[in-house]
Amino acid sequence: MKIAIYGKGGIGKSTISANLSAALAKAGKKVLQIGCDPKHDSTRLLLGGKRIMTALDYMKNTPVGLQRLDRVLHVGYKGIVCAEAGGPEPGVGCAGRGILSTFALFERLGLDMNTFDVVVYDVLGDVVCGGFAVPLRQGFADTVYVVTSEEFMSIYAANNILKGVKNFDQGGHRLAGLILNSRGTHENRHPVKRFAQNVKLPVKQTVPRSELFRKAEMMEKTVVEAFPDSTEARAFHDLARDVLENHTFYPARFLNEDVLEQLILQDSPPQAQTDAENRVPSKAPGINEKSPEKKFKVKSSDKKSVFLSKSLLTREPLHGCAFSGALATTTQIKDTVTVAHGPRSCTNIACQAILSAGFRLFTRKKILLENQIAPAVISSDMDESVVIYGGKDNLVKTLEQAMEQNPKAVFLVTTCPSGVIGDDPVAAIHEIRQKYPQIPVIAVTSDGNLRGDYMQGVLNACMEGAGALMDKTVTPKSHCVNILAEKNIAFNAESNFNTIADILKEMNIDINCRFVRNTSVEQLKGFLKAPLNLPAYTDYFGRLMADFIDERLGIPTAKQPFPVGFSESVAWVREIADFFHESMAGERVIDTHRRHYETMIKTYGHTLKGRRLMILTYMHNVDWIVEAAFDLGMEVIKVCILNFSQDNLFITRYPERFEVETNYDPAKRDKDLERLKPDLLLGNYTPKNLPYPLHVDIIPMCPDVGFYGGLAFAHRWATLIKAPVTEGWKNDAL
Amino acid sequence: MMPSDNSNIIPDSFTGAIMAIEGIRDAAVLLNGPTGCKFYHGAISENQMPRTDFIDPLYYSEEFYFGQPRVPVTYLDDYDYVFGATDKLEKILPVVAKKGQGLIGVINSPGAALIGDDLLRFIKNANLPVPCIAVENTGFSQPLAWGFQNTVKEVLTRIAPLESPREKAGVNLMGVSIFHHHWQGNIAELTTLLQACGIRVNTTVCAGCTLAELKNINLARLNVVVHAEYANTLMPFMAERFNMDSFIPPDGAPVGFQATESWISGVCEILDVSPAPALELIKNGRQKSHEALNRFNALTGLPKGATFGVEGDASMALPLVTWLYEYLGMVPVSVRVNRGDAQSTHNLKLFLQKIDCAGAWQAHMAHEIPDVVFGSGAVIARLRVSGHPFTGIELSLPAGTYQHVIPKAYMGSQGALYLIERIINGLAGC
Repeated sequence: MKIAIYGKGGIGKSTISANLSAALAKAGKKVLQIGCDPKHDSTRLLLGGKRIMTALDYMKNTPVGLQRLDRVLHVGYKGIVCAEAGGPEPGVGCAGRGILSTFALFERLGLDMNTFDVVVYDVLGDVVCGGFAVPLRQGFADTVYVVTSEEFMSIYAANNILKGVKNFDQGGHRLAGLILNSRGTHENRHPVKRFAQNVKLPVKQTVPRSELFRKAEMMEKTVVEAFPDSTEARAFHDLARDVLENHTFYPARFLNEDVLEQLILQDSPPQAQTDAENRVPSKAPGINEKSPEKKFKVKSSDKKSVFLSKSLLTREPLHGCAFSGALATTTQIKDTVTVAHGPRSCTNIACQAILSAGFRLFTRKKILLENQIAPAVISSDMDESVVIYGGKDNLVKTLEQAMEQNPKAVFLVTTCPSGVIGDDPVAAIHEIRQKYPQIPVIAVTSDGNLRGDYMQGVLNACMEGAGALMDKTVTPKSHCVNILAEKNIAFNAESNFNTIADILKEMNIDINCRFVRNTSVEQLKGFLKAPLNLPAYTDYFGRLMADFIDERLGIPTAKQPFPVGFSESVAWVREIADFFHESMAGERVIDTHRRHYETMIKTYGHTLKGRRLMILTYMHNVDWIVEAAFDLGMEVIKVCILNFSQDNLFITRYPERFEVETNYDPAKRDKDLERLKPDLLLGNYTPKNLPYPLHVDIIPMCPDVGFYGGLAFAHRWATLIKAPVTEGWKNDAL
Repeated sequence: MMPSDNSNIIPDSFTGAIMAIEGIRDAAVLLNGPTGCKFYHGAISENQMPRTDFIDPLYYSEEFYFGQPRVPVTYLDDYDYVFGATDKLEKILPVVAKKGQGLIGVINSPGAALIGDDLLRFIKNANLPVPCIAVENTGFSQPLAWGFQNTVKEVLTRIAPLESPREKAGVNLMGVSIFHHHWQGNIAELTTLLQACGIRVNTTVCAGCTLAELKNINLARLNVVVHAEYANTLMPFMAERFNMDSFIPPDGAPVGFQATESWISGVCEILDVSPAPALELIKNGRQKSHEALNRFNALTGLPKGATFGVEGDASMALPLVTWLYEYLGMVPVSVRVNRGDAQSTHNLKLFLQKIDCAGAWQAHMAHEIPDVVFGSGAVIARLRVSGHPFTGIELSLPAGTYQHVIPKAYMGSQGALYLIERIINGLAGC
């Protein structure tokens, strides 16, 4: 059971929530209370006055990879598990966004709400933005109580909350009733009663104004704990009983403002009441008895691996956004449409990156890939009114447009503005599914960069998007493979795939599915047919993909990535051939290519022999080029590895044969050049202002794969070395 | 089955706002937002108006620049959205101020606009030696031109003095941005025509101009509009703030001989100078054009009867369609305009009705692929997927990968000749 307690700020929600939790715990229930208020004092009385680390502070100060659930969950009175979302200082940031981030954290760290008998959400205010509405979303609160006092503004807020509840009231009602937190015995309760009658809700409990609350607070306890025999405590035990036994839920009805004003302000004067409710027991038990802090224990078996991008894991600045990464990935699946929920600029920016890769592919390789030239994307074109009033209707309309294309699946990716205002894509999907049950609609976690960087978006789109299409009942097939972790922004991704497909064909092996590039819903459905995955890269992304598929789907992944250069190709062919018992075919392939390779080495070796090579690159694997250089008789003198957002693991087969410096400081370059005097400097960009003239050339971030990947440069270097060291045009700078 | 066009893959007012400030040579945008909003704009700005001679990301590896020389960013993340970007804003402002810019425009990304950080407070507290403006909300999904003009107004309000100049001369070119394809070539061609008539170009507002030029914006006698969409709200602003008149070309932008003649004649009439020298230049262009077309037509009968499609702003589409039809005898099969100038749009529809081509209005090019397609690189590439041969002439961004070393123009006399060259060679199958 999950209960949301809503009410205007300062109305006493936290006191009511904490006492309700205490009463529920006393009734033997396992309770989790989550405070969703930036002032983070919801659970204070359950924890003996202790202020706990809020989820948002914890997130801010702890790298994602080190975050643990038990640091934000604390055990209080009668085993109640307590958490506080926290939030920014008044006047800065966005507290509603904070609630969304907190729930995302809980989800990521594997908090299973279903292991509790009752979850109590103590939520600020009158549903001011999407963030505060999180507990109303499907899957969170199934019961809603609204706290009000007799004051107009409090009832006004309650009315607004009912509006909010109505917006989220799909597939059943969740309102259990009102709780009147009385401001005093002399207050006129008629407005509340009339409000309740008009919105057709029962007043489930009246909590009297009482000095006992102040006294209990002084003792840093709830009334239920501090004054267990009091009338006030009994009120909460009654409320707890109602919570547990209630089966009647009401639709959310609200009054328009004129009616509400008339109803409350034109009321009869308050009537005198007896003060019987204010009796105080002579002695309160347990004063100042602070129990030692208990930590919430998470069963390790409950935790699934979390697949995070390198930047997210190490709290580096995020490069690009998850929205863009997700869009670049889902648009690789033919026969699908991706709905981008956000302003037009977000879709444009993300699509320009896709188009740019498509243009380069066409210019350099003369391959026109429809997915990258005309990505099937529809933007919801979020405008000012959507930003203010929420975008569900707008999103449903855009999803309908996508459905009208009759695709095989629709993906939904969301932007920062959508995430900040707390739009709930699940609610929109729920609505559209009822109208178009035959077409799968799959949301990919993104919210712009709120849920991570570009790589995280790619990961999420692979795992949640493409992964959701897989059919687990397919019959396995032999002699076929899946391809993992191709780079959609690489201009040679398609030609590299073709090279690999050709080599595999020579060994009688087919491609089953490309995960996820230039693929189709049918291919993805049949993903589980293949007995082996081949990673295009074993960089951070490639490794993560392999781990994900191994853990969740049980298909092994080859150790070696698409090979670049001769040795890698030999080892790769042998690994694949061994797996499929095609060793003879594999050796035939190797022999054929070896003869051609040796011929090429002879052709270029005499020009390049003895030349000194230095490499300055973002790439973390340069063996393909080092191998070619050594085979050509060149001398590799130093390899300098720059920090790169997408990888962190430098590897080489030649550990002792040249100097290596990782995390290279570019400021050292000139000194190294002066000291080592290379004949040729290779890098990913042509450097400027070198200390002396020397030959420089470019190596691609994503080299061409296959037996000749490294040697492909031999011809270029042999020619380059004959060119003048400094070209004349370089003297023509302004 | 899939969406047959990229009609919703177009930039909006956010990009327009950034391009307005990046269009000033000695000003810089400081983006308060995530890097996802930075990379595209940093690349476009530097590509459209190169200001550095080097692209190695290592040279821009300091914090906030992320390997690009333009559009430094506060790289907001989830935590900043919750807690505000105070620390980063306090840190980035002095870093950018040290780069020697004359103006910094702090612009919120769409997401940052929602958290309500008080940019003006940060700017004031930073006490920088450089003037700054704050654009807290560039609009959501509004037209690019809308964001562009609003930001131009912010800039002019901040830097251009209100006092009346003693003597006025020349014109300001208005309604063109660095986001326009071939903007430099077009401005050069229009400047040549104006100068031929003795009209000095005071500045081109936020398209390759300097702050000093903008400060003297009211020295000009007239604002001359190029693309009406990019000046429709600027004109009343200029009238109100600087008491300046503006000339709106009735036939749209100066694309094709006829619209160019109309454009220069209109300007000269207001300034009371003779358009004859410019018309002479255009006449020379017409003669060259005739020479080329005469030979081509004699052998092929073309370009008459060749079909064409146009996708772009109304102010460009109107004169282009009119010229291609009336001057070259080509027939429109698709004319797609997205939220362009209302008057040009209206006139364009009337024109299509008049020539019995009303069906071409907003028609999908994929349904009948024209012989010649005018549009962005994306429009052209998308049609290439069909495998059907046609000639694509890029008139707007995104452009393909072709590097233009010699500045091209599609406006003015030289622009008309360039288009004719491309059409003739395209139709000839070259």
